[in-house]
Amino acid sequence: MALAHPPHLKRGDPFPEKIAGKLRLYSMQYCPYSMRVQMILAKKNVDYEIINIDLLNKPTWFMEKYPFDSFPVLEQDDILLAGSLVIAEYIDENYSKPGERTIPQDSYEKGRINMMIEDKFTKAISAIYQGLRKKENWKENSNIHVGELENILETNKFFNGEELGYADYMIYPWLSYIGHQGIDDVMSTGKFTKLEQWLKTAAQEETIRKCDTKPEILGKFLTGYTTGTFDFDFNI
Amino acid sequence: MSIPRHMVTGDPFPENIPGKIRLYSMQFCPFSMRVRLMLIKKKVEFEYVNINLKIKPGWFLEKYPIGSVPVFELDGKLIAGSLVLAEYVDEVYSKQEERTIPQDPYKKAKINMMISDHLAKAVGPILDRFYQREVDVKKFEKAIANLENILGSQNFFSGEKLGYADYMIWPWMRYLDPLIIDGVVGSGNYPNIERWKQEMLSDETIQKCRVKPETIARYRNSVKTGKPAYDQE
Repeated sequence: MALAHPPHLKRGDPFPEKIAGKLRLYSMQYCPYSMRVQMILAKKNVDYEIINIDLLNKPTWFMEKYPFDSFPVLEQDDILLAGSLVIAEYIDENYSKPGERTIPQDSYEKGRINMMIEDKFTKAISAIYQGLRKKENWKENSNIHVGELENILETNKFFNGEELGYADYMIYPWLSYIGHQGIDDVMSTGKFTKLEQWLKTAAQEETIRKCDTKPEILGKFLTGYTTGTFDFDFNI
Repeated sequence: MSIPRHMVTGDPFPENIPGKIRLYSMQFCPFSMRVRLMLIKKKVEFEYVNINLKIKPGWFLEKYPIGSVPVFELDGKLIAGSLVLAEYVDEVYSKQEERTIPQDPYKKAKINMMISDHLAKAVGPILDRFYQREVDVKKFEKAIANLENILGSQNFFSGEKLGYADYMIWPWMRYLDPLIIDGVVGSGNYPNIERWKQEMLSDETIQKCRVKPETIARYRNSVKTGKPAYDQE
């Protein structure tokens, strides 16, 4: 039976030799930052290979070759980049057909969206992680910061504006957690009707569907993640 | 040029001039300085409204509830976030072919990584040291050693020439001065950082934004009293 996904390489596993000219993404099957990149790669129809890394037990060669704080990591011959937003922008710039940029090109629109990602999204993501880890005040923080996202959707159907776009891709991985693992307390209050609607629509979008994880599998990952001891290859 | 007074609660709202760029800022805020550097490099005319961050005017919080600086305002358009703004200014106000941020996708990505990875790691420890907080000295030393190391293999953080990444980290690196954060510049232990700093100080844009180390030191010492000396002659 074929693997559901590439296995997560860990300490002791040998370095998988690079193929000249081939784009490689060091990733983790359920990493939301990685999902951001994979959506843009999918949208641009880029050919690439995935090397999954066991983030709790990294191979020594990974730590030596790629000593970055940021993840995922993109490599192709001499090209080496780390961090979801840096990579997403690079892919969008380098691989888009003319006139088909995903990132808004109008300076003010781009500034507005980047502001949203750096400020509102970062805070909401932090609150969602607090919810996963059941940290003190997680409910209060979720209400405030996930509430801010609901507010954005009061004026526009999508985070990107009238149509689903870059901003929506950049937040989808974390919002897809809502409904799982106690974060459900945030959605089930019935307060975030716009977010619920957005989630239903976004989950059906072509690129998101290509990269999304089935809810039952995501649920298993999130349960394991919160206990800290975890087998990334549970679904192989 | 005298420093605009820092507005406090109760100060009347300074009316916007149509068509005039306004930057809400704080004189000693390094994030605000990033944007000032870009605006000055592009020779953009703008007014700046300094905000007293301890006693913020109500009209500022109404406009921008998050309450932080820098905030850019022009005819109703508000943008915030130092790097978002730096990029915006570079895009909108550069004369032809004079972009500060590299336009090649890979070069741009590398510089953004330098800023968000290596340089971002130094910001926290430098600020902790600047505000004389009780923190792990090792974190600061490690961050500075990393910067020294990077400047060992390239002249500037941006590469061979002074560029975007260097401007973006300058507001924090200028604190490495015997009068402010001692033990780095002048110690003889960090020759690359010293060389880099000298080069930066001879840059035209940096010179236009220069605040004397004594002034910065006075602000720094005043913060501990709870009454920051924002407004100094």
